[in-house]
Amino acid sequence: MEKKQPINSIYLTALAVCAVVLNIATIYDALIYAVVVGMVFLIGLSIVSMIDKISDNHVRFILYSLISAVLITILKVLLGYFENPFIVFATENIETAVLPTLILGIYPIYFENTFTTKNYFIKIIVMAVVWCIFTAIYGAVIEIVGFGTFANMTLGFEGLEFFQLPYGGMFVIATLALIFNIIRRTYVKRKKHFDTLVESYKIVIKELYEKESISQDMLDDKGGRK
Amino acid sequence: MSEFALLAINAIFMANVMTYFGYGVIGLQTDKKNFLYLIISCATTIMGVIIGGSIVFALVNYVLIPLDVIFLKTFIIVFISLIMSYLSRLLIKYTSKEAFYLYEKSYQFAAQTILLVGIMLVFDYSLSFLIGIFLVTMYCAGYILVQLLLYAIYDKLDNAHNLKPARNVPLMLYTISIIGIILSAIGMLF
Repeated sequence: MEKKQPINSIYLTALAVCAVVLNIATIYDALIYAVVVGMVFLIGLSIVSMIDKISDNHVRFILYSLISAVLITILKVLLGYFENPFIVFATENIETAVLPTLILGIYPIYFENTFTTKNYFIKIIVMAVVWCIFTAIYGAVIEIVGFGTFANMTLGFEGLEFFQLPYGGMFVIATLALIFNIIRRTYVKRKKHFDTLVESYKIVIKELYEKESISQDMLDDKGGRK
Repeated sequence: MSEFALLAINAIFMANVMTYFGYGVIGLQTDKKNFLYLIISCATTIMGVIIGGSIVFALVNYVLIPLDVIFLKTFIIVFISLIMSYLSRLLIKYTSKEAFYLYEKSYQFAAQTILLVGIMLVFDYSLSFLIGIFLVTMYCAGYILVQLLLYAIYDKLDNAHNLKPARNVPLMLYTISIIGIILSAIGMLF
């Protein structure tokens, strides 16, 4: 079977935010979704990583989905005890958090070839952090541009109605994905450049060592020419 | 206009599962270069939604609500969606080898599960069974409409003449945003 091409993780994060585009209207909503999804994603994948390499991708996805559903059910029950109006409002549809969790899980589960045992946990932490930053920025932008407020403080202008609708939300997500992708590509390019430099220096050092050992062979025990 | 026609227009155009809810967008990232495969995957999705939706509807109304354990709804929905996706996979496996090859090559199993979970979460379980199932089927029709509209541009997403970082998903999301506005406007005409 043809080898699968890894999808860009930034794109996957953007698609994950799309799934909760209707539920995020303020920075508070965004932060709650970011934390809930990030936590469930990390816990779920840590558990599923135990059966890496020994089971089919679909089996791991099934297990990950069930763990995510259980964790979100528990979180929904626990968040029900909070009486803060912002939390109550933001967690009204918190069960939809299962969708971004499942979308984010596709990358480590279906493209596990790109994940080595050494960097597995670091990579999923990076993915969770990128998700949190992406969602928080999205929430802030929608609140400012769509509603003319930030953290429920009025900013002196009325928001644009277009950005209160999901179509405007998708427009913002696309723009954020574009910006994040530019940053990612710059980082990848620099890293590649650095790796190429390291490799070229390694070759130069190896050549120098070889020259040194040859010249050592040409000398006798007392340091004179043979 | 009858109640069913209004529901259909609302579910297909105004509250489209792809452009309004954003649940099915992940399905656009899987391999859909074959028209027959697109039709097969959409058909299995409809089958999964109708059968799965009926099971969840029965479980919610006749088990979870009487036992006062409605908080288990999310788990039940995910569980049933996984079973339906797996049955769809088996169906494709024994129907067409070519379609199964494309299915396995992409992550269609995950994408289909996510779509099923999304539609079942939107489902209003206080409605009557007939209206509920009709509404869910119309959500699927809306999903297929957007899939067909975007079918022609699947291959072009990576080769568009614009900035490299803007290709693929950002371009697709801009397109969906515009399609969403157009569908919403069409829905308002009725």
